[in-house]
Amino acid sequence: MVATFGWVEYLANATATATPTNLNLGSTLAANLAPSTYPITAGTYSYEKWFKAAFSASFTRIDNIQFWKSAGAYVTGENITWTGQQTAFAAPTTAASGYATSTVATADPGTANVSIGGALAGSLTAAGSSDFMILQASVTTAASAGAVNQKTFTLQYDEV
Amino acid sequence: MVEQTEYYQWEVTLADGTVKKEVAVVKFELAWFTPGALRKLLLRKINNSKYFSVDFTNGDFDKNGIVEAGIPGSLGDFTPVYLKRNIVRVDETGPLGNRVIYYMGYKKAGQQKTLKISPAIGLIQENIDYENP
Repeated sequence: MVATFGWVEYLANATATATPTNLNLGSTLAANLAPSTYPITAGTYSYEKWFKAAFSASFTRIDNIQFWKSAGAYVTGENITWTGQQTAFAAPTTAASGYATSTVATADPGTANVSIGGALAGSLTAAGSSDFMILQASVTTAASAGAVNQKTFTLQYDEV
Repeated sequence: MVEQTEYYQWEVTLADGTVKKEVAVVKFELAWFTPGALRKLLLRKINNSKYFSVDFTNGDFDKNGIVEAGIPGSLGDFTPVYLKRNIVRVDETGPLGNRVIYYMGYKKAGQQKTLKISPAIGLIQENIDYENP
């Protein structure tokens, strides 16, 4: 009677998936990438990271999914944008995302900001996934050289 | 006409195995909920098989028919509130420790009373909301 949670990352196409242990952003299209190996050059964007929250095992209902950056300050010139309501897949890009256009929340948003079945009020009553979440980091030329601060992302969901 | 009264019983199993019960009324004894003290919490409908329970040692919970809205009882129409909120965190190195918070209590006559409990922390908050149930 307990749901099992896992991340599912989507790579070059909608069937090329991985099970990531982190959501690191960088200059290559890969799960669990090493930022030091694939840094984001000043003045450019990271690859978009497309992923979902997947739920399996036995539960009655999953809903109210919320996602935010809970720790890790930006350095000058750094930003992370996102969306949590994308229903159709498109190949990740290093151009400025046309999907991840909102700055990711830095505190618990209080209400659902990740959709299920195309609706923030959506829910799962059997094994399944949220809609796509997409993250993209950008670093302007105003940023200093070197690594940015580590970030912590938090996802919260209700299970009844 | 005979008015039928239905009763509910809270049963709390503490970490040391001690079982504490409240009979005939739906209320909470906050002294039970000290950090790390809870092993299991059970709300049972007396003289009926319906119940819901949560096992804090493994996160399992069970709802045997008691989640229907508007259960008539000694406190009026009583709607159990039972919610498990899961918090998953990840950073550059991988998954961080996850947290679970349980919200449990009841709504009746437009009023709400819930407890917010974490297995690791114990009682976090008691919420009595008479304005916005």
